Amino acid sequence: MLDLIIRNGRIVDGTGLPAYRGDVGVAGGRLVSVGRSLEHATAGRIIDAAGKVVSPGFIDPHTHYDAQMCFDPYLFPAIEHGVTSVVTGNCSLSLAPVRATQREDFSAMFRLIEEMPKAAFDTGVDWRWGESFGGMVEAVGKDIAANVAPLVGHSVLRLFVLGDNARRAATADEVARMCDVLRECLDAGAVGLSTSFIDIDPSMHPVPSRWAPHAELQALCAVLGEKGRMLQVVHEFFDAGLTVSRIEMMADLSRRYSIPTTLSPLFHNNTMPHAVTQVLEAVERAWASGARVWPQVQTRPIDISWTLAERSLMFLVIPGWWPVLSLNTHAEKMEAFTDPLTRGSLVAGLNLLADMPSSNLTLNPSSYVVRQVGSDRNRDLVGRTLGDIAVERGTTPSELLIDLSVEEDLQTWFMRADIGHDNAEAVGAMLAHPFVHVGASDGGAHVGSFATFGDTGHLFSQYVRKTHSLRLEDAVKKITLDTATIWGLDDRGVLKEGKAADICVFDADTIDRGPEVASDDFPGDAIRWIRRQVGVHSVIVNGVETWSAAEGYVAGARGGRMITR
Amino acid sequence: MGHLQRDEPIIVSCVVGPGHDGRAEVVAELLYPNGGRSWLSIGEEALTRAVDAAGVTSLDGLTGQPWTVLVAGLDMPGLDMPGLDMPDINLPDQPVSTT
Repeated sequence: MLDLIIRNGRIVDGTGLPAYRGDVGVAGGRLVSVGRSLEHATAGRIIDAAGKVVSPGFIDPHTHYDAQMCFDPYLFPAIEHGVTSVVTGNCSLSLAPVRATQREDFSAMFRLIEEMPKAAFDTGVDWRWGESFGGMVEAVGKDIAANVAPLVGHSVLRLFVLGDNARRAATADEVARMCDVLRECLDAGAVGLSTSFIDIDPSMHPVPSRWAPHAELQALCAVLGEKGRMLQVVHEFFDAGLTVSRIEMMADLSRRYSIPTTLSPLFHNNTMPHAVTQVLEAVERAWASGARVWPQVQTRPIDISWTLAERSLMFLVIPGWWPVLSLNTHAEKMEAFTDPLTRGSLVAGLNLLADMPSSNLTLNPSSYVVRQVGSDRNRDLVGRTLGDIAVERGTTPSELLIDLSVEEDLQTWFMRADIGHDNAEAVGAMLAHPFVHVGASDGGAHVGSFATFGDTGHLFSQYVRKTHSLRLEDAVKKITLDTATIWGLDDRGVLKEGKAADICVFDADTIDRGPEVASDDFPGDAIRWIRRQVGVHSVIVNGVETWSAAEGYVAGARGGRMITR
Repeated sequence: MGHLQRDEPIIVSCVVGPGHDGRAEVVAELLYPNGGRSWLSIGEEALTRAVDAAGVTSLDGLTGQPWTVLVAGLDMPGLDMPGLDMPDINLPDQPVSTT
């Protein structure tokens, strides 16, 4: 008798080969049958997948669940999107090894860069493992519903060895000590080292990794080379020339030490469309030279959100708005927004924006979406466009933006979607590029600014169904077997007998990300932004059904583990 | 702001676009006296301070300003950074060839 049978599914096995109809059997957390009929077999649990795709669980290679996984073993709501494995510790920041005396300094840096509310971090991260990387792996691995492949952060490594003054070059002895500590982390299961060339700490200084001379990075990469582990780099993504230089640097490290490397994020920007071409040509040259350099591209476009209570980038592009938003007090702003003359001027400025072809924020305010309301009576407005609501209320979108805000004492949140990385044709071509690694979701970070969940659903809805940039099988391969292969997660990413039973059952015609909604589930008072799944039927982690559309999150499901190499 | 010096770069454009980790930021393009160009990505908070320091009310107002108005955006209270205490851009000393 098997533990689980998934019957009559459309099997997309992760290899990119065409889908076919068949059954999948699971026992002891492993795939024991893939494709063969299990009509006469019995199992403790049977899932009818008729009409659904059965694929490997998705792997998210760029996340910051380091803090959330300490207090939320389900990484809510990542798993319901089909994500069964995540890479943590990106961007030079990991929760170990961190000395007890440096916890507050590190926490402040993590909270700033990854935008984690202090109350949530301080309440949720209990440092129960002490200081060591191995201790963290063991402690978190005891209570986790998804698989976690942890990186070691270069900034953390420097703090651990150099002490509080890590804004300097290390001595030869300190570099040697860092190499020893990195080796200990790799022995404890780290999948690689992450470093950043752009981030700043709370004192506005470059993070510790940015103070490392190249020779230090070479020494650390030599240690990575002993085990063939990954180097993850946050590069100067806004400057194509510097990015190309980084790619050449990473190619050299990859060849010299026989390691894979990945850089993130790589965006498409309509104002610099040549930049992506320039960067991808550099990547192709790197691969032609024998190096492994994987640029990560996220699937979701960039959004911007704002209220009329605070200044925002938005008001620097709407003619006439900045001085009003710069008024000192809430009362002064309210007075300005209700003054007929000022209101008329602001409406005119907003209308002007809609007619400015030279602006890179050209969309008419009718497309702005109500993201959150300040009063229950307006709750049904959430998710609707100003254009839609304006018609209903017999006003204009520009007037509605002001009037609704005033009605709610400036508590209304609005969102302007797709301000960047939104050229579907160009981004689709990037995602389909053979050297592009689909990732950079940043899951678990920026919780108060925007939702980092549902990028996998968006891959299928936007780039498989809408633009046809990728075949279904190729999209699945990108976020399963390709990712597992790039990161050396040999047991995962493919539906093959003997492999770990990480499985996602979904409807290829409907899978998507849901609307962005506020959630108050984190410790502390702050809300965060999330997206729920659409079109996912069931998610299995190491043979354990962890989430299903019918029953939600399964209480006590702890199929996950730390993926230690 | 101070008068534009001949030997300092100026801002030639500021556009809203993708920033680090998918946040909306502003990318400023700088033009150097020798014709070279470079780009800086500036987060919302720093940009707000830079706009205040420059005394302008729109992104377009930053165009033509010396690049130092962006540095002013980093001048936070309590900032322990006399001058520009920054590491060199950490690229290898020797050019790396991929061929």
